[in-house]
Amino acid sequence: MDLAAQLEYIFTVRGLLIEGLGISLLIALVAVIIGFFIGVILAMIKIAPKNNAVIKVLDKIADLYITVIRGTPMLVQLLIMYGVVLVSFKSSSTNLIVPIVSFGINSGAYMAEIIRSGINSIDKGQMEAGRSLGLSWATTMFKIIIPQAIKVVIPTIFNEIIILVKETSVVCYIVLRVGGQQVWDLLGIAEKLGIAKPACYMSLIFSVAIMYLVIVLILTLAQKLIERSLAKNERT
Amino acid sequence: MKEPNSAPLLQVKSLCKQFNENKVLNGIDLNIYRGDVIAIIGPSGCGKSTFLRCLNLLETPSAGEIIFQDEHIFKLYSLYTKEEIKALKAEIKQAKANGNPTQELEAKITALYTKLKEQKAEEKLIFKLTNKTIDTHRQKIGMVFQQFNLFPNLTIMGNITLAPVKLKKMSKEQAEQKALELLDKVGLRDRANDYPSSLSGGMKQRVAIVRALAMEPEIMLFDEPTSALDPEMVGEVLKVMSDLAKEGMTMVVVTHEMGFAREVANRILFIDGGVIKEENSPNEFFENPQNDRLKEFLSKVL
Repeated sequence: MDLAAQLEYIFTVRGLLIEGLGISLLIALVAVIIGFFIGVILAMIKIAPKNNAVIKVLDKIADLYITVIRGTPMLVQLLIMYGVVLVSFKSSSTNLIVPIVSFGINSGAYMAEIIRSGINSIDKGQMEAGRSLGLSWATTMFKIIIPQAIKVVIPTIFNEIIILVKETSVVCYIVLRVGGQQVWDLLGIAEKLGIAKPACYMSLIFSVAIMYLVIVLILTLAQKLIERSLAKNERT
Repeated sequence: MKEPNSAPLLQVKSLCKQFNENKVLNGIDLNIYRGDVIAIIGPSGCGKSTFLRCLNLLETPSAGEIIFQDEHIFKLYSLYTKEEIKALKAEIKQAKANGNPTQELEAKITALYTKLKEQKAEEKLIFKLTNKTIDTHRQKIGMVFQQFNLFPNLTIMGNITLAPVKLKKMSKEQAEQKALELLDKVGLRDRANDYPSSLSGGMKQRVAIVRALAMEPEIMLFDEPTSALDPEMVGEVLKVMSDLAKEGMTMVVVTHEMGFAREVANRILFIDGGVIKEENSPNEFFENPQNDRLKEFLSKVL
């Protein structure tokens, strides 16, 4: 099959590919949101003053969570989630639950470390200034420290988002190994089409690569715009 | 001391602060009366900043009492000092090594551990109590820092009104009105909607003073307010502070500005080695210093 014919084929299946891309982005987007909330909570626990037993226990749990999630490969976590932890969800009609939750939990550990380091990078004097006015630890944290920390962590957060968007592509291979409802993400669709029409397989894979690249370029642009709008209160 | 007969506004009794093995404050006693302007001077590392930061518990003291408006904001006395505990433990170890634990020693061990337990329980209680009440006290104790510590994510107006509005001291409109009045006094009314990063150091510090004043404090603590400023900006900040003193604000100022101390303060303290070595009126302090260490210090800085 010559190149022109292959490109023509890709053009005819563009709707399916874009649908797949939608699924990939949906998984990544919801996982990022879940990850961000887990990350904020874990970071708060790690940073809060350790002045009572509850927070000390929570601190140990947060440590364990971050260690286990960061210490094992994403693919292995996904296999465990499909095979053991979320096994009752894997054949449900809403077949996206397992990957969304798995990627969200994974991302949470990384987000926690990103947010924690961002908060730690803010001058200690900010917390002291807030407290000296009579504001509580929590008020100072949410009104003063976190808004500044977010600005610091935007590049690293976007890095994490970009990694996550691309990493969701492993999900289509998992089902072959442990069963369950197939997830038709971008790569999954390309694989299916490629099996039906092997002559176009490489063209499909290149199309997938280009589509991911475009998404990452858009994310990079979004990052730049956000950074610029957050920089408004800086000396020009 | 303007009202020596009335009760002090802030009372400090045998305040000690220890960072691990390093003793920074070794028992400081001080009564601060309404209207006092107290300048604290001393060589670097003498504990003067730590002392100031203990007054609103930004540093938790190791022992002593702090009483603000007749209410304890801190009270803790060690039953044993760390050295005593170490000595007792060594004694017990020695006796055990000798192999014949006497009844007397057994009793000593039990006593030691009971006391340690009591001590820990008391520390815990104090911690809980101070944590609950300190935010309320801090609303009445303004503080100005060497590094200004303005909130860069908020405008000047936001910096000033955040605490009064959040703590429900006043409505947003009232707070903004008050902020504008105060900014007017320090000559920065037209900068209300700018961000701190567009201000010079001297302006930042004036805003920081306004931010503390917006809470209508009973007392203001200044931690080396001019040390981070370019020389030509020191004057504008000192001017705001002396105006404040003239209005009758109670102030405690850690400073290296001898001229300011002499002209504005009514009491000057010299701290060295974690204790107050000399306290005097400005004239006596500079003209007729008693303490040898102070004489040496003054000869270097004047």
